[in-house]
Amino acid sequence: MSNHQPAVNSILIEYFRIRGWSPFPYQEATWDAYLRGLSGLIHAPTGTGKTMAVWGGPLLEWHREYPQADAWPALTAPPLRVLWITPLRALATDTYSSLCESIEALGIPWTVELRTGDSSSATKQRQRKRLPTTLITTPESISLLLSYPDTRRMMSDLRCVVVDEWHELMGTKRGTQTELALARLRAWNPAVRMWGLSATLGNLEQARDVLLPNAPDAPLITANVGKETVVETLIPASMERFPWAGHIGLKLLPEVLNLLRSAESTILFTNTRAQTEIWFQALVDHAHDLVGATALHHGSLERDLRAEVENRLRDGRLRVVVSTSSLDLGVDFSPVDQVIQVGSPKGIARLLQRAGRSGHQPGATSVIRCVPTHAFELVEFAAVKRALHAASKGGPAVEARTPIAKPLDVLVQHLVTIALGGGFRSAALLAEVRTSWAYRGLSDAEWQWALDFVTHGGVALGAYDQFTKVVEHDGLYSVESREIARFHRMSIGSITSSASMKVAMLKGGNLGTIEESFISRLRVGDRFIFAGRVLELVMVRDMTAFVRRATSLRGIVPRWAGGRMPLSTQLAAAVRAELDAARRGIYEGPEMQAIQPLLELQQRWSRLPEPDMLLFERTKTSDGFHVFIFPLAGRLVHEGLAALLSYRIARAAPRTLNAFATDYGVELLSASPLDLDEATWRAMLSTDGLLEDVLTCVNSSELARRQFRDIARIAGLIFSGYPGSGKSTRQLQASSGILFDVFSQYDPDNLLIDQARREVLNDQLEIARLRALLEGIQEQTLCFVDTRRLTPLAFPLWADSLRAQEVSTERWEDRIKRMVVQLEADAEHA
Amino acid sequence: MIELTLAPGLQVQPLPQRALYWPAEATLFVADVHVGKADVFQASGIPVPGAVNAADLARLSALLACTSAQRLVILGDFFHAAASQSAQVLARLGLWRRAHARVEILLVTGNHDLHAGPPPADMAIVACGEAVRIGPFHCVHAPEPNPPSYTLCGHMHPVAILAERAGGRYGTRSARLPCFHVGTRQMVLPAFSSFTGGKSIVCRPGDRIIVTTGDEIFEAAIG
Repeated sequence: MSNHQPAVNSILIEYFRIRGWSPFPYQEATWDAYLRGLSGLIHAPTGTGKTMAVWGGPLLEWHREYPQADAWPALTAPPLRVLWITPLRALATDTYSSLCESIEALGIPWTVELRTGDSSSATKQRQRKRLPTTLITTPESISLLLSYPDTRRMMSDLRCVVVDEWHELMGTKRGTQTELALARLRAWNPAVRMWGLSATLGNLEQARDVLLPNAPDAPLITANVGKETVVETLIPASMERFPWAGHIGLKLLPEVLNLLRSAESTILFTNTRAQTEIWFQALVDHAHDLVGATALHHGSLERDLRAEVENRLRDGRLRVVVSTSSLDLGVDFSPVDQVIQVGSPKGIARLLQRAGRSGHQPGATSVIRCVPTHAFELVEFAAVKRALHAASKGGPAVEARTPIAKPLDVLVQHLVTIALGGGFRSAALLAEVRTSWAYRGLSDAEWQWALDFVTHGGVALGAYDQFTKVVEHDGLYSVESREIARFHRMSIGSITSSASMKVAMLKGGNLGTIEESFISRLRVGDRFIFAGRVLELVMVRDMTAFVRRATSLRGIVPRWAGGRMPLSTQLAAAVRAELDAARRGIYEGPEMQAIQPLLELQQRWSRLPEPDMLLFERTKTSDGFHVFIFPLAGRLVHEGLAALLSYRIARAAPRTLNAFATDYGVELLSASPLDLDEATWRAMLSTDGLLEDVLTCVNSSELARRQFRDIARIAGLIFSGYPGSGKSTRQLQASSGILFDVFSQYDPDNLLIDQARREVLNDQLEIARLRALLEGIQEQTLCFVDTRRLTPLAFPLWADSLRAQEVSTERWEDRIKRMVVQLEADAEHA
Repeated sequence: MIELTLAPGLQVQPLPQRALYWPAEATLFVADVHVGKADVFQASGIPVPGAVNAADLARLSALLACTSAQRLVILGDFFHAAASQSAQVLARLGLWRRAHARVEILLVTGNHDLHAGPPPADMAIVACGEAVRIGPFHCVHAPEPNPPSYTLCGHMHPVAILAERAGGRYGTRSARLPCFHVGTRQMVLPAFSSFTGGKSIVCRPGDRIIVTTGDEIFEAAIG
């Protein structure tokens, strides 16, 4: 790969040399491929120079076109050449500094600018007249640009599109949104080169195909940059007093404090924003020496607060940052000494990514110290270590991300966006949309439905007389109403945000955003913890919760939606392997040795799961009669199993069951004993009629209705308003639940309703994995153990099941009649 | 059927169709009808099926027919917004009004009516201003802090959150149902429009909660 022009290459070689580096072979290979006009996907761990790998090509291309460096200062900055798409705003700032640094050092007369949801309106206005040479932006902002007719002209000299953190985007609707934008940019200029950057992923080739469906031979460049990851687990000194369940982990606070004091800088990762707030409070309360050098970082915080934390960490003024995933992407600021992970990372890829935040120099070793929050996480840590070890030996590596196929909500949004951006003709846009991976199989009927949806509101006859959105004249579809244009542009960015409210101090100053559902449960005067402070709710106005600092030190911690990550399939398999080894008396490594007494207790009271056996435990508590089943297959598929079993059991004999799922298994709880014999259980676990039964579960439960929330927002059915938007938008507010009901009743063929059901089936209940699980169970023996009390395996399930969901075949009205009006004081149990 | 005795000799019937009937005076009370709400959404590019409006009016017709009510009192928010008074909506409404020409209709002004404006004169809907007295009832749109006499109102779109209790914990399967929030001095009616959300109620001692599933109505136990 060294047949590129050395003269052209030399400026970068020199740039590297001054910094005491030399390019990695994979970086040079990327520059070479770029200069040969290729697109591709780069796969490299965090901190191995991905940015320079992909940024070098466009710089070299410029140098080739303008070899006279001494003439550069006199040049005005050229129009847009490089579009840099990044999923996270925190990442955008960082990319910005690093790109600026290199062009300044090289004296290249380019402009680099950011455009994200955080950019000022003045910046956005200016950028609508002229784009910088390099624009760093988010998927939403690209869509927004596509909604302006003159964007095409301003992008006429576009050479390169970089999609950073593609592994994060793929598999999300923002990824689909990105696919549609890329399809459009390719249609405008087929010569544009597109480069994806991805961390470790189980399905890299597919990731490349989704990004570059037009280039099946595009290079997949792997950085063979040795970077070792060492995982260490903090083992509790006394397992006897270590909790069997829970997710806070403060039990090990003293040990964690010692670690924090021993390092110059630490990122302490937790899994949820709530945990972040709790840990931050604990550090402030117990480590007075670290107060002032400890900060909090999560995605719900206001941008200024986040930026300040990032800057202070960069300058070495912070010693500890408590963070959720908002910092675990490849933010390239100077590495920290130490990374601590509280709770199970639930996936191998996530652990690797977080570990990568330490030892950031290529070739350095990343160390991550894991803090268990309950006993069984020791098994998960042992499993992660085992899996990493296997991966380094060429074994199956990390998790795959499944791309989303043709989500109609995203398509509907895109149609309006393009109608705004100069309009479209049906056949041409259909052809363009079908060049994307997501919509390659879009049927004519689906396309027609989406087109009807944006022009007539839907196909239900006469149902939408007053509807206007996209209008068609002589085959050209466009948006005429300025108000609709304004609403649409405001809602483009809403793919990510769930219904959220701003949190602002009464005296001024924004703190961030919080789920509306949380605020709506609070009453004025209630206290809660947010942004590391105890706050008191003063009033709620115009989508803003005004707060003041509370005098009390205690408050409730908000629970953000979607905070809990399920165990990945890979890690679940590794956990099963660890437990199977334990069953055979093999306890390898400090984690397994620490948990040995507990697993032996499990064996005494019941059994440990075996590969060819499915374990059932039956027990009675004051709650009722429990059946615990332990397939150890991860929470998502267990949720499907729980819904299916409770539906089938209740169908056989009408009754109400509470069903609950965790990563380890399923709990069924009933008021009377569940006396099913083995043959009946076999029938309940059969794959016969699986799809029909699961569909019935979906329809009878709130699942589809809840899933419709995001769909409705993306498809532009919900206009959530914005602070100060006033009365005109308040008249347009309706909850997605009501919309779901109205559609189900008056426009049942609406494909968005159908999409909600499919998303529940495929994404939430993972019907494919559920089928595979049931097929596996056919080969297993069923083993029933009656236990006198909750076993170590059952206890965490029971403890978590306070949020149980149930399925019932009783008449809905009959059930409601037995219900009671829930009192406000009990809201937190809901 | 549920019959509530609000005072000695004063009986009213909350109906599952989200209306209150006072048999002694053949008077039907509804609140928050929000006529033309779907149309406002449609005009702004949000495709809410217009059938939801038609269904609401049909339900009101059926109520008038089966109760043989002589008088209909609308406790505010008859129209959703100014844009709701479109030619199409008014045409539909005109047909409906002619079908019930003998029924006296009174409208208490609600906050939405302030923006939407009064119904056209040919609808023969008597605008009563902010409050009207109907027999013993003080009729207003929003709840009164100090009801002068037994008050009927709407505005809140009250919803009760019901949950099952088993073994000391609530099941998560809960239901949000529109309800009549019946206090000792004031009753808040559920929103008549089926295209409305709701605000969960805060119970005070002595309150009674009558929930409706649309087909059935029953009193919910509290706590």
